[in-house]
Amino acid sequence: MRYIIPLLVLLIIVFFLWQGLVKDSNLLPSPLINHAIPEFSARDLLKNHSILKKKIFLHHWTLLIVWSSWCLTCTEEQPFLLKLRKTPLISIYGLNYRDELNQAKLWLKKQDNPFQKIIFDPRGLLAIDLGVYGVPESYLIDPQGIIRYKYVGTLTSSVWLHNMAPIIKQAK
Amino acid sequence: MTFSYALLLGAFFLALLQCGIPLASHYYQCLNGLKWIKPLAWSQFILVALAIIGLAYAFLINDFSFVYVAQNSNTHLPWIYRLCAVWGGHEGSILLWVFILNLWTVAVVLLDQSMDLASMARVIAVLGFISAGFLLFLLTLSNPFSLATETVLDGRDLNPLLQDPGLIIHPPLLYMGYVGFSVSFAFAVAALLSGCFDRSWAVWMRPWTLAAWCFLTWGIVSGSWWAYRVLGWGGWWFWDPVENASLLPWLAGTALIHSLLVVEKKELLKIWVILLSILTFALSLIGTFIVRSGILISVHAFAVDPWRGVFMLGLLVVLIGTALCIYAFKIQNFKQPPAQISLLSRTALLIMNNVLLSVLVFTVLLGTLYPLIIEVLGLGKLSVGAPYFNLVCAPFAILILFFMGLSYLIPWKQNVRGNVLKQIVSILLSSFSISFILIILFSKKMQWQVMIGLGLAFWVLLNTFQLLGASFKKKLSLKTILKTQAAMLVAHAGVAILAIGIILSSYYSVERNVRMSVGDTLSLAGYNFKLQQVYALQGPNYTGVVATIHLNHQSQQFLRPQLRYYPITDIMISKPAIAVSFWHDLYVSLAEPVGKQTWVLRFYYKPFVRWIWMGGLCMMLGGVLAIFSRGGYQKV
Repeated sequence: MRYIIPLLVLLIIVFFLWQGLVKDSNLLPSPLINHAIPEFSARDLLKNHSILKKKIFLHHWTLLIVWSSWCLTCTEEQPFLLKLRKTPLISIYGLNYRDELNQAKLWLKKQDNPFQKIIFDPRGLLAIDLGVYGVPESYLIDPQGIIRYKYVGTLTSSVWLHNMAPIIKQAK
Repeated sequence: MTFSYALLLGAFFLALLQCGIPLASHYYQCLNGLKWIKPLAWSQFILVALAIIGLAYAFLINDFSFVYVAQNSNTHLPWIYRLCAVWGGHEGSILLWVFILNLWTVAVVLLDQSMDLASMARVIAVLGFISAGFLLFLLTLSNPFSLATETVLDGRDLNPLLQDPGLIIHPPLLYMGYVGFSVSFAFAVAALLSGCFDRSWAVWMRPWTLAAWCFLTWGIVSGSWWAYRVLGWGGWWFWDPVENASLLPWLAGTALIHSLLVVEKKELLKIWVILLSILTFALSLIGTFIVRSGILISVHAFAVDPWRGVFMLGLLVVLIGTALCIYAFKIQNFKQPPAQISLLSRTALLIMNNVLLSVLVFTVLLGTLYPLIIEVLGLGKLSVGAPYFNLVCAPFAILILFFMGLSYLIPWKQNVRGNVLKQIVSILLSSFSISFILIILFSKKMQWQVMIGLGLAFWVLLNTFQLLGASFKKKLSLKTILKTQAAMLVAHAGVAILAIGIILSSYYSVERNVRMSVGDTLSLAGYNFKLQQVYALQGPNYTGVVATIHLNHQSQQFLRPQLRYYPITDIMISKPAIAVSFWHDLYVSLAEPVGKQTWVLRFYYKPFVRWIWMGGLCMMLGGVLAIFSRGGYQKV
């Protein structure tokens, strides 16, 4: 009987590998969900002398998009963001993550800018506090500056409609 | 369908025959068919070789009508990297896998003349079974010869990180190791099927296992060297899932080559050796799966076809599951009466070695899969990094070094004599004294971790010299020493050298991140670095800048780190410059520009870092010597 043990061990390992293969890796719980966005101070990528602080997140719902010019999939969500910008429901901010100033500006020129404000974070300081896992990532932040939802990967209209918009509706 | 695809299809049917004929002839008790086995193996090898040559040729002439070529090559890519691009992507690396499997198969056919035809046929059948599985994978889900639907003028280029001399040798070596363990696996399964596993099986198996182990060792060393030179962080091991995937079969293989000695010498541990052979190959397959399915890598790394992962997992279940089922059914025949093993004997020490290495395999495997397990169980998301692995591996490394040194003093044959204990104590004391004195002399800080690690490394080295001295005293001829002891001495000295390199480079490295303008200087660990100039650079398929750094210390030397930009793949890469010497490396990498004339540079002083790879190569050399040595087996 004990000679079957190796077979059982193999099956257990395969079970976990299988589960890992089919898992949905886009939903990552963030330790900061339902916590306030951390204090920070960073320059605005678009305006040279403007310093952004935590208070820019107050009094309105915000969608914070983590992006970089070196991130190839970041361009894919641009069309949707440009569409979303037209709704008055929400402000869209960008968090430019581990990027170079000129590269980032060049990228914005090419893409059409959907962001109202862009936090320039070349060393990933705010990103570390937020627990950024990779780019692109999106955070939904409520009018009190509290993170309500986090999504990893390219943001699509279906994610917005099914996961983010209901949170805003519920709160109202 | 292209011609090369047809070659693979042909190879697939030959592999099926190669597997089916021995089974059928076993079933019908008709040995006539067995004479076809060797020609079958040869013709399958020729077909697969032609296919891989065809792919290499397509890369050389940049035939972008193949999707795979278009994705991994470019007209501006130098020809040597175009050749390496054959295994730079998924499809090609699976083709390389199959090619190497066939290489090993014909090597077995060619070199193992002492085997009887029936046993040989079983071994070849098992190898054919594996080959058929992987060929099916190539034919269905990862065809390297699929044709592009639209005309491509220029390709997407090879990943710049892979455009390095290290890549020319690294993947083929690693695969030679991984796939080489399929031979031990085939031997173990064939022995299970034949119902007998005696000394002669171990004698057949040992050189193959050693050869695979040597290649894997070499592959891991070259991979670590590549990471050190290319990734720009001065690190040589990251405990990354992909690295662990190569370390796991290496650890299991190390246990296997040691326990095979016990089978040869004492006819003990047979069941364990069979299980370990299956386990080693299973870990090789899991390694291939982890690397190729992208399961443990960040979701952002690259898109992977999920069906490929499913197929490879299926292959793992079929190959290893079948082997373990045969094991469960047949192993009763291999039961041995319990043997009396004295606690202080070479056998006991080798069993100890196996226990330690197996627990280490389990620990590393658990650490590698832990994030996955936690996630699947819905307990959150985490990553297991270097601190865990360093913490759990250190005690094992200490124990392994201790028993390794001890094994020199405990012979196979004689009973332990009274003065052995005295010898142990005196060598142990002197090695720790040397370690203590050296630390006091060269470092101001006394660190007990360094003291223990160095002491044990010296303990192994002193024992090595002691045994060598004793052999010379006994007037053993050089030939006898080469035949009997050299392999063990060289390999174990390699472990000690590796240990010294790891300990000293991790405890005494100095690093500095600085912002520098042209003309600025920095002094680090007694060396003076001056940034003399930065100028533009134009490579075949990249642009960039190169900094000239004047290294001022007795000799006049220049270091030229580069920052390269590959426009086709849109990737920026820092190419470090390293001043290499026996005792230390000086390592500079150009990180990023912060102004017009200002740059961030990283400087590292890495003592004894060369010793890590020297030790690794020594271990490999020991393995090579072992292939040609007598091993545990002595002709009567």
